[in-house]
Amino acid sequence: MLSQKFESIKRQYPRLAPLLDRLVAYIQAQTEDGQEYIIPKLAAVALHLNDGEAFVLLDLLSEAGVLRRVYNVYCRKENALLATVDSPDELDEIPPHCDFCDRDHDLSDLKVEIAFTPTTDALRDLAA
Amino acid sequence: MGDGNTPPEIQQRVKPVLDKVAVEGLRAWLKAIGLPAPALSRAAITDHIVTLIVKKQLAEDALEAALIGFEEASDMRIYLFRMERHEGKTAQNALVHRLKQFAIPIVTKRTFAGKKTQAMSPVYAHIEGDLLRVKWAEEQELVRVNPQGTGLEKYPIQKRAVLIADFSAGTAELRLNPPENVHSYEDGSGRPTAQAYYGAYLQKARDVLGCKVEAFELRIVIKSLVENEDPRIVRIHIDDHTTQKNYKTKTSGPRADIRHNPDWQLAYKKYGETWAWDAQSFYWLPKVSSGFLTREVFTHIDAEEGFVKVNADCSNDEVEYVVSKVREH
Repeated sequence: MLSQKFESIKRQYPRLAPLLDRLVAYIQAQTEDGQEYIIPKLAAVALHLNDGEAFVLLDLLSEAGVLRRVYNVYCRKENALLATVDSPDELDEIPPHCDFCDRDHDLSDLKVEIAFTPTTDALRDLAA
Repeated sequence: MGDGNTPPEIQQRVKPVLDKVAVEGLRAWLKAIGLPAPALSRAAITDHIVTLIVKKQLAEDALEAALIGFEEASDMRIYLFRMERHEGKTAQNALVHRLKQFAIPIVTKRTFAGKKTQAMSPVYAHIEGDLLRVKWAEEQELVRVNPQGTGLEKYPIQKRAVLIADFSAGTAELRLNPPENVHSYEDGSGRPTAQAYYGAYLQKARDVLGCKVEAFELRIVIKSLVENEDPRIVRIHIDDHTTQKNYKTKTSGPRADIRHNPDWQLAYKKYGETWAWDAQSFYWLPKVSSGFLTREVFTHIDAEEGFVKVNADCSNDEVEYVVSKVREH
């Protein structure tokens, strides 16, 4: 049984409840599998939604405090994850050096992907 | 194009424009309209086209229309949209009003862009029933360090952007030449970026259309093209996808389709249903194009960034085929 926060969001959007249940089952499976981040495009494929729909559902869970929104920064050339930050403001503070290319990157060399990660409460609930 | 029907006069008129189009593109276009298209050098293909005009096998107006098409289709990043349907007189009046507001001249015949120096210079708007076509042009600069490393080399380069909308079908597309490194579109920190350039034109396109537009989902197009087997309509060279464990996998093939690779087949069979299709580079095959294509046409779909890219020598008909097939899948 997930947290009260999740039940509350389901009560708030009753028509989305079945989809939210499927999404939480997916999050649970990904977490058990050791995945730190829930990526909207991957959730979309797994739940047969489009990217936008998956993002909106994940964002609802983020607003409810079940998930936390993060920003993953990748080296565009090597597609390597360089940093994860909690807010867009922190993107400016990322050290520009990329170990994979062994040089300082410009902003245009980087790609930012929004991802979600279960909050501590949610992780505890998911593990229970 | 102009007066004077002697071969030198025709040559003088058509050569400057023909010189901007790749020979292979011209040959493919000639074949598509049922005219002979032998393998020739640039100089010889110009002579060949002049001869076709002199013999009245090819009308100069048709050549001009085709060349304008090349200008509006070659080397383009294409964004596809769905939009609300806007039909009828009221919608058209509102459209005309918006075009005037943006100082875009409404013409009855499409034209070449010519040389435009200012950013986002309007060339024309052409309205035909529910179809709208708008062209902008501008000059950008390619700046690079000279081979000696002692100074900079600067090259002015003309760029075009074309918005095509079908208000009855509720579809639109924006075609843009990729930017050079010096242009007028800046990010928050005042640096010219490709993103700022694309963003500015996307916003202008939305303003001209005057309605809610929605980006066309491209992941399902890639999925469908991969699944398409009987007959295959594309030969896929590069596949880029992300697995459920968030590993990005890129497979690049030789001239064969990556679907021939046993390793790829194995992974696809077991996990393909769970992959997020990020990007693919492939060729559309002419033999299954119902006569629309006379050569293989390269396309790159980037579903992450939401665009389709075609190469530098495509005719308008070829790009229309690409766009129609992408929308169909």
